[in-house]
Amino acid sequence: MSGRQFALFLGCNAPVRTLNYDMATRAVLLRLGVGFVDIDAFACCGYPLEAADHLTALTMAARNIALAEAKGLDILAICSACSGTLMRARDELLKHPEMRARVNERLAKEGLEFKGTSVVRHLLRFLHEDIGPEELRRHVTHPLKGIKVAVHYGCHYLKPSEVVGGSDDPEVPHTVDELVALTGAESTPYSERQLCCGGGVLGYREADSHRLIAKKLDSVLAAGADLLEVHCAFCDVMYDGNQKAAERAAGKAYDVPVLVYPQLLGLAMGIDPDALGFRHNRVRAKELLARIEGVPATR
Amino acid sequence: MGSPDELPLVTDSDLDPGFADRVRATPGGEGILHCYACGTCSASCPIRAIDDEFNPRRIIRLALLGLKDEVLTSQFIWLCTGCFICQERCPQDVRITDLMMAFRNIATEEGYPHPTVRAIAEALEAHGAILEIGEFENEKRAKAGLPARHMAAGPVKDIIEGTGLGPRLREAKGKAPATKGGEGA
Repeated sequence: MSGRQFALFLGCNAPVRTLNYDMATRAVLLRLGVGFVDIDAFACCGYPLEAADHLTALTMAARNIALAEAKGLDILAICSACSGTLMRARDELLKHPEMRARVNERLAKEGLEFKGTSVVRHLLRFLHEDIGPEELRRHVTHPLKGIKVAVHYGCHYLKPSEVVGGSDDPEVPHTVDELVALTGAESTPYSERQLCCGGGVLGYREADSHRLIAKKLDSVLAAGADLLEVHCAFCDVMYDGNQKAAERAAGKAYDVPVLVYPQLLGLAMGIDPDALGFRHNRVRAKELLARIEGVPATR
Repeated sequence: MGSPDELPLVTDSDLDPGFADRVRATPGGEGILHCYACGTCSASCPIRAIDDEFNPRRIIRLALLGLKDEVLTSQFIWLCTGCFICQERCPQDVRITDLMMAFRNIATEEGYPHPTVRAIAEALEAHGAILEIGEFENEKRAKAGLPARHMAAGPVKDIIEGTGLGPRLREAKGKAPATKGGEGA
């Protein structure tokens, strides 16, 4: 690949609750020859405080961007809430010099300044738009034949579309279907494809978030999909981490494996499932992996 | 909702005529006056579909009427899941998801922050993240072949205190509306 270097932005959830996403992302980027570094001074993207005080959230987002800018790096985020928040903050700060001045006054205390010189990319937008399906297909050595994937676009990967949507249509998105197709797997249509994971109400009314998880998984099972694909750390926490809780609330079992996209791509590239973090998937994917040709058994 | 007889009458004394302007002056609330109550937001809302208490069109009407206290002290402003479907579809560009955040910002200013917001701010000041990434977590990461993460708590605390949010949340302690608790988001 190009010599492009990224600052990898993990957010709060991935480093603790979705190690599989963290591992699979690194494994796939290494294989693609994409350079990335970790910046220790990164903190929360700011999104969780959007509900309390916009200026606080905006300043937290700007601080993260400024840290990457100081190193001359673009940001690659793997959580859609993080990428969305950082992209919206960057957009607002570029459009509103008076907000930028207020934010930079505070960042100056840490010797930082938001300039707008670094861009923020979501991992899948980078894969789809910067590398491209054709180039990615060249790396596929183990096509995932006969595997039916329910794609979960998630909200902040698409919306607000004018800032984060890229080449997708927010009502009829297509980029992730194309990314799934190049792995040899099949994207299966299902009725609740656009449904939100409910992560936004988890802390405010947990029962509602469980209802949304159940509604999604009912639809995934009805469509006969083998797995649910996600590309956001918080969506992954909801569908994989909280699937058991949603099952208890709904009074039934789902047992739907939830794979983050780089796990799918990594399998198709012939990367060992252990290196893709499958041991950290909460809903076990063993039976699924056994159906994919050429995949070594997980330990 | 009860029968019409049980519904309380709205009288002049319940109304704050300046509330809509206050919302307009808050980031995210700029478009509230453009709402013509078509209901596309409520028809599209994934929470509305499963929880009767949340109805974005109704909340906007309450705010435009000037029923400030009812809006700010209610649970319903905290039930938006932030999915942006209504914001995409709104024919009047009210930017409803941002507007719901503006209501929460005003509620926090007025001393009615949701307890979850306070818990989040406390976690961020202590850890720089909503979850602690300490020695235990980093041992787990090392076993997975992942580099250690150390989130920057100090600078985040400085930001939260510096904007005045920290003190505001501490002053509001005990004044927040009662709620069903949940895990910190």
